[in-house]
Amino acid sequence: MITILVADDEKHIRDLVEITLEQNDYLVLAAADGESALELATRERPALALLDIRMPKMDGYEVCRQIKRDPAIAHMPVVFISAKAQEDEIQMGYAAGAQDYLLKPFDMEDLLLRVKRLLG
Amino acid sequence: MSSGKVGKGSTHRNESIPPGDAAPLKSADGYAWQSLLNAADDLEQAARTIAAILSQHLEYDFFEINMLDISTGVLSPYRVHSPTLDTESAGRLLDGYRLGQGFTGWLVENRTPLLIEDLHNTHEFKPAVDHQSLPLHSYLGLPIHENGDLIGTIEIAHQEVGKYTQDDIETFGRVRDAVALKLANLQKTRDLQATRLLAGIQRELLDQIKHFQQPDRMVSGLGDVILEHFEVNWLSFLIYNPGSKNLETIPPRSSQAASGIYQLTIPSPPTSAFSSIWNTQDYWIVNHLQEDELVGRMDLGNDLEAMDVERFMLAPLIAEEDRFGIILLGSGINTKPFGEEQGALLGMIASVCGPLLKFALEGEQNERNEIERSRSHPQRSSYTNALLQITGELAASMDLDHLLIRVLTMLRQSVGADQGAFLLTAPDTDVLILRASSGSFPAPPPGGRATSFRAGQGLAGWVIQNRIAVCIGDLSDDERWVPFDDESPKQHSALVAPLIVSEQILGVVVLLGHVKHAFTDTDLELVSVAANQIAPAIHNAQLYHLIQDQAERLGLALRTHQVEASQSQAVLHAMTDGVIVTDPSHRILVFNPAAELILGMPRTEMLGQPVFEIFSNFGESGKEINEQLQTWRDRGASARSRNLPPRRIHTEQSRVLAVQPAPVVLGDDFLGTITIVRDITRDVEVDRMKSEFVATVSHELRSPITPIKGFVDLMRMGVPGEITEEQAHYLEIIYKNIHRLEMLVDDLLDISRIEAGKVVLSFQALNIEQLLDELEKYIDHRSKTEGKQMAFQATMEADLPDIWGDAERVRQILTSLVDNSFDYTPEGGNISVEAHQVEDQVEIAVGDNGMGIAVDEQEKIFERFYRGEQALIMGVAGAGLGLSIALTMVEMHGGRIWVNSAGIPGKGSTFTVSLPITTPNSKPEKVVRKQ
Repeated sequence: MITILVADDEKHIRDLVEITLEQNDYLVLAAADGESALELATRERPALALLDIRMPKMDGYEVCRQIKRDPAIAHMPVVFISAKAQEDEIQMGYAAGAQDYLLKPFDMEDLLLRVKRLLG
Repeated sequence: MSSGKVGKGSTHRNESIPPGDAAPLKSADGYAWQSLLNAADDLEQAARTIAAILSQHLEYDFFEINMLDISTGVLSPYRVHSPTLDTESAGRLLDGYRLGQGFTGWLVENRTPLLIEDLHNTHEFKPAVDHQSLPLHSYLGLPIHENGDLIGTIEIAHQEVGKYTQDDIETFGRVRDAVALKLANLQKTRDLQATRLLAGIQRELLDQIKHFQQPDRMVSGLGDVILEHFEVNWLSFLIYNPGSKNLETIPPRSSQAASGIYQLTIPSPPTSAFSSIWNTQDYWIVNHLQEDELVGRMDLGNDLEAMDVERFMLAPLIAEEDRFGIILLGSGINTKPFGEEQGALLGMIASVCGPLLKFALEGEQNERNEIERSRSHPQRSSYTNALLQITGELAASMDLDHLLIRVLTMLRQSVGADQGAFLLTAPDTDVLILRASSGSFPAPPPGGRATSFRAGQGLAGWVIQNRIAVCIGDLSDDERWVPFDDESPKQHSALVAPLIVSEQILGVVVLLGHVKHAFTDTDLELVSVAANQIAPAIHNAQLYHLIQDQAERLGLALRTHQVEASQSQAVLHAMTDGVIVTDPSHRILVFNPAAELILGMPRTEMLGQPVFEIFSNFGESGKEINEQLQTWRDRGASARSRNLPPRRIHTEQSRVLAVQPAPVVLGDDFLGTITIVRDITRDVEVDRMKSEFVATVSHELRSPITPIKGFVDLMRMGVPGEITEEQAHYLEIIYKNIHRLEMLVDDLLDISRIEAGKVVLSFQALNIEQLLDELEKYIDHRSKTEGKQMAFQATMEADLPDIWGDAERVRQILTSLVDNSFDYTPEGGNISVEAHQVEDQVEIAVGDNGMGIAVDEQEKIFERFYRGEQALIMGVAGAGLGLSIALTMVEMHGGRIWVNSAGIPGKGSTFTVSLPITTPNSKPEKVVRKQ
């Protein structure tokens, strides 16, 4: 089974993404803050990471940067799922090394499409 | 400045700018000057104030205003010297001069500005003795006009060579124009005062007539009056003695007056030197005896010198066109030089004294005649009484009508006339006005009644034309006589004398007798003398009224002007926006307190400076402002105010200022510029906070919408289990409203980004066909998902070029238009999109056959948050932001958007967008919406 990391400080959004992905036969690792997200990413090496930006302890940008800095997991595709809609905020997401940026609220179908595309 | 006769050693010193006057002006702006100037009570004070005003704009070492006295042609100077100029030599200038003298005279005659680079090296204007004797080189002079009349000159000079430029003429001209009205008003006031003074002197002089039997007494009396008004130590009445051909002094009788009256005998013509004095027109001034060649040739100098006389002044005594003597005034070396104004006054005094003195000199002869006449006509009053009474009347009354009637009555009694009248010429026409009458004439109304006579018509008209008094013994024999009233058949003899003042004919006095040969030549003489006395009184009274009228009119104009000026000043001071007004050469005229505060620049330092100095400190934006100002100056009168957006500049104190410059153009004249400066730091901050707030709201709404939308999605997908049809329907409603909320959040974000100037367009060539295909697919998709049948046709001109735009934003614009068509057209409707080229734009028209837009709503639909009536009827979701955003985006592309609709349901509406085509010049660029 393919493992996907979901990091969001809001439980309902974590649940939503988790349910949707599990429905589509992915294994989901969930984190409620940036530090645990990075820890899970480093330790479990999931196939893909869905990261919120505004999170306690470490923000999504920093988590992404750390992932991309670690040669062991740098290849891991990162998708931001964020309510930050300003152009400069989106630019910062890509600058941190993300492969995609999904603006909240998003369609579940859209999410699945992008995940599938990134996992090839 | 004069270039007339100048001597040396004058102790007359001219005042320099008093510090008390100059200090407040330094901190005053244009309006404050006006009020300072308005406060000036006389020309001297005004001249000092103007000198101080001018010193803010032009450097000078010598400043002079000359006011023209029209009646005498004298220019009275009011001058101020720079403290740097040696006042000892500055004092060498004359006190006043006549037309034609020096540069002042040149300005008056030519009425154009005069700029001289070096007074010491000018050949066109000579002699310039006085200028060359001073360390002055540059000179600039302008005539002063007010209301089309020339009233004087304003002149400056500087010790440097080539100090003044053409620009300075302009600057000088503006100061001149600003002060002309005030000067004209002060001049009128001065004229009025002079007239009153003269009337007073005249009355005093006429009072001396009581001594007419004794010329020596009369001389003493007249001398007393003259000595009261002139500061002199020597006075002579010199009378021509035809026997000895000398001018001989009438020795005064009173020892008191005699102390200042010297006996002098001057050899008369044919001495050629003396003939220039003898033939002098009005008056003659010699301020420096030893330097005057003429005086030397006259061999007069030694006599006068022996009496400590350094300066003298004379005026001819004339009676009935007979030049019979002169009045001579002299003063010592330690007195002020005689001025032209004093000369003019002496001239006028001489013209009043002349007839009186002549009459007195012939007194004995007259008295003898009188005795004879009294024997033959015992009913007649003596001349003595008549003239005394007239004198008394003249002294007592400024009421012309009353005076004339009294004089007529007395003259009638004196010469035994049955009727008498004053016929005066009207100022503008040659119609004669019956001003006063006595005897059986019907009395005219106050101010007089027009007669049918004109100059040249009738006996009175003849006298006016020929200026000769006549005595007619038998009117029936005289061709000139034209009977003029019912009494005419009874009128047989007439005495008519002209009323003349300084060459000007005012009218005639007419005395009529009902018997033939009623009047003698002596009567004629008396009436002539009386006429000579009365004429100045008539003239003065007329002048008095004229001047009073003018003074009132000017006073009114000045008051209005003052009120307006003080209102403008109050407005400028109270404004919270900075106001900077410049003249055409961009020098700052007005710098209000708000400008001082906002720009942090002291007004005193900014006034008179080039406006560019203000903005040159503010980087690129400041440079642009200066370029704009410069453009207006270069274009001059063709500079029209275009509605330019204000420019933003950032100060060192991190404040943001909006600067709005504009040209001031009146008719064809470029008058300068006005720049409004507003501190918008707070507005910019509020703007930023607003954008931030909207962005935050948008962010905060997105987060909760996400799980709502997501879980509804999951339920609709059947993830938690099967749902009933009714549950599915409810979920659909929830889903639609979430979508609506989502769109609102997107639109809000767009608006905040547009306002914050964060929307950046990335231009590229866009294929129209492809765009239309996308629209068709989009409508098809909406039609299917929402189950609303909608036909769609797209047509386009062949070979349509690509448009040049931002792909995402052009899609947003077009989608927003087809969305509206879809929403406002009932099921089964039709949407058509048509594209064609118009010049260098492509017009894309999105039409439908839906509800249409009422005509009165069409202007408002592009406003933010505006939702039409139809939105409610059709139950269309939305916040009313779509078209407002589309409009901004279209404008950012350099395009236009507009709507056509009849407002009739079923006829629909058509929105047309025009966007620029891709040309070889199209370059990738970032366009950011500017504030």
